[in-house]
Parts: sequence; structure tokens; C-alpha cells
Amino acid sequence: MEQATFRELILRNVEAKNAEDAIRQVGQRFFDAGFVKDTYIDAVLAREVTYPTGLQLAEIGVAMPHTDPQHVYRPGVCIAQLAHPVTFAHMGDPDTLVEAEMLFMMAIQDPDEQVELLQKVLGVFQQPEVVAEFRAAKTDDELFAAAQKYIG
Amino acid sequence: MFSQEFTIKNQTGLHARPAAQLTALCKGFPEEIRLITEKGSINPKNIIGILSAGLKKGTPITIEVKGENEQEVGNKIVAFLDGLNE
Repeated sequence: MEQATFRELILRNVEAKNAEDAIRQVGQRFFDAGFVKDTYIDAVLAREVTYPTGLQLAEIGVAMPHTDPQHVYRPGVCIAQLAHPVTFAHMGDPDTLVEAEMLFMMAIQDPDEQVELLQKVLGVFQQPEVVAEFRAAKTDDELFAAAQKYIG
Repeated sequence: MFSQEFTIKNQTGLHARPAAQLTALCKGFPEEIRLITEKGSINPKNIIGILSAGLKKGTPITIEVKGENEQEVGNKIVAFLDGLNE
């Protein structure tokens, strides 16, 4: 993926009632920006039930919802800072719950790219100073600057 | 100890879904399991370890299992990785 983050795929202070609401709101931005098809949100929600995407990292709980390439027009990552954490089930361990405060929702077109993107996001979010920089972002521009710097 | 070399061969590598399946499989065994890569040693019972390693198609790993049923568990892990086809 040459470019993963885009200015129009940055959201802050998302007021979400729960994980589904968060996925719907963030997915809507993806759709409005023309990255995904109208089937994307429901496909992500369905996949989240079977294969949850919450991840408890050392400093922060995140979630990386995504779905299959047929629901995607062009690849990207939508980065959303939630106003309040919402509960996701943990990837690989659905009995463990994660309070996710950021979403990295992925539109994957070439499945080869998913491994690289997951590796990159996990790599950067295990560094406390990077988590602090994302948390400290007070404007969309600041959040986008951090996203570009660390995710590309 | 069970030890076997394996090269990730499915097209899309160990992305979220196969990594989650591998973690769930390994968590079901009390044996100590490690995946050794060129960069280090991963505990596959922790999905973050698997995903952080970026196991793409063509990545060589060594599967190591220590414990009572190490042979059987090792074979099951190899069979799982071998059976990934997407």
C-alpha cells in the first residue's frame, strides 16, 4: 500500500454508543469518501462477530475492523479517535474484552497488504511515545500528521 | 522437543483471521509453543506477537513445541498452517 492514510479519513471525538455504532460511523466516512461500497459496513459488522478485531496493546486498546476486498474500491485506513472507549472482543480470544479508544478501520483491496499494515500499526502502537502523540492530537490536522508520520 | 521448519505458503500470509485461528488453536494446548523467525521468537498464544512478526507468504519459520504431547501438537500446528489456502 503506497499510501494508507488520507486527510479525509481522519475522525476525532466520535461519540459512539458501542462497537457497532463506532463501526457504522467510521464506515460511513469511508463510504462517503468513496473508498468502499455500500455493502462494506454490514460486511465489517458480520465479520466482527465471527472474527473480532480488538487488540489490547501495552499502552492502548484499539480495534482494526475490516472485511473482504470485494467490498472495497480503493485501499486506505480510516483513523478514528473515540470520545469514549467502546468494548470490542479481542482478536484471537473473543472471551477477552478490549476497551478500544481508537479505531484503525481498514479497506483492504490486495490481501497481501493486510499483513504489512497490521504489522506496521502494531509496531508503532507498542511504542508509548507514539501512543502519546496520537492521544495528544487536538485537531484533525495533528492526528493526520501523526498518522502520516507513523503509518504512511 | 518437536521442531520443524515451515515456509508460510498461503497467498495472503498470516493476517488477522488465520492469525486468530492459529492463536485459538495454540491456546488449546498446555504445551510451550514457539515460532522462530529470522527476527526472533514468537509465542503464538499471543496474537499480537504473530501479527507483529508480519508472516507473509514465503517467510521461513521453525515451529517448536515442548511438553507432554509435543509431537501431536506440533503436527497439528503444521497441518493447520499447511491447510491455509487463501
